[in-house]
Amino acid sequence: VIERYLAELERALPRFLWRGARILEEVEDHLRASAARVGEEEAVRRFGRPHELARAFRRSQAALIAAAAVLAVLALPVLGYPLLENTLPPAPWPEERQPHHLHWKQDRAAQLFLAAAVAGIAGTALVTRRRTAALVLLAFAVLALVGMGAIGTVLSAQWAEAVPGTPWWHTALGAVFLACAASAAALLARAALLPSRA
Amino acid sequence: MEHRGQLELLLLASLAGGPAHGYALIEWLRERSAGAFDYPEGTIYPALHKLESDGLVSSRWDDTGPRRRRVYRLTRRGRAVLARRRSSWQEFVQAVEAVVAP
Repeated sequence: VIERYLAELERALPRFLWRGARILEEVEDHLRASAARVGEEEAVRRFGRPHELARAFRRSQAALIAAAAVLAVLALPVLGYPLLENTLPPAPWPEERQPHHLHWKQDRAAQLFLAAAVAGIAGTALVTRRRTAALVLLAFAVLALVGMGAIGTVLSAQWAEAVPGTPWWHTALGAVFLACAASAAALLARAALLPSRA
Repeated sequence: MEHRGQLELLLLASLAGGPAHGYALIEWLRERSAGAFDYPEGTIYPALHKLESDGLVSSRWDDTGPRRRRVYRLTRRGRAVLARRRSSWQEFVQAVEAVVAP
């Protein structure tokens, strides 16, 4: 009975659950201790349904998922930069003469990225110890990323206008990034709004 | 009895007496409440893991018995939070008592 329960619980738990193996071991220990007194059937009945337990763990994991999403969005510019460097045609102006309307947007986007990276990494480091502080830092990171995405959306369109031969997909990059940042914001809002107390 | 919102406080208070594993905590709660807190036992594990994530309890494996067990204990921060929550709970109970008592 206990083995069947544990197998059902393992299937119900989120696949990439933080501490998943530990949870199963703790549950097994609890059930065996309980079964020694009241029998396996009663021990399992008292423990509660596996799906309800899995749902409670999923809720407690929401902040970790949000932190992972923020880190993933932060990784996009780092991974995408070499792609841009290798596919964009050279700009038709000397580096020091870059048009002002493009220059300031690039600077702001870079500043926002740095702020998001600092807050996002700090928030992720705290997420298993100081949930509230972590959520505040992650919210700051997400706001910076959304701002960066908004600027990036305009910048990529203006860049394509200013630089002949810019690939068509380049104009969509800012919007794609903005959508990813918005998804991270939604996951963060879910983590913040889910009941934090059992 | 409706007490789910207070489970964290109950667990912190249970651990104030010393380190304990999940099964011992649930037994202690049941005995101490004369059976009033008789809810699905699995409920305490997500709550314990959350308390640990919040830095209010810490845990480690205890290999001294016949079975390996995860033992929880209050952290210094957990003790401070417990003191605050106890105080606000007492205030709440006194306020309710003042209104409800005949």
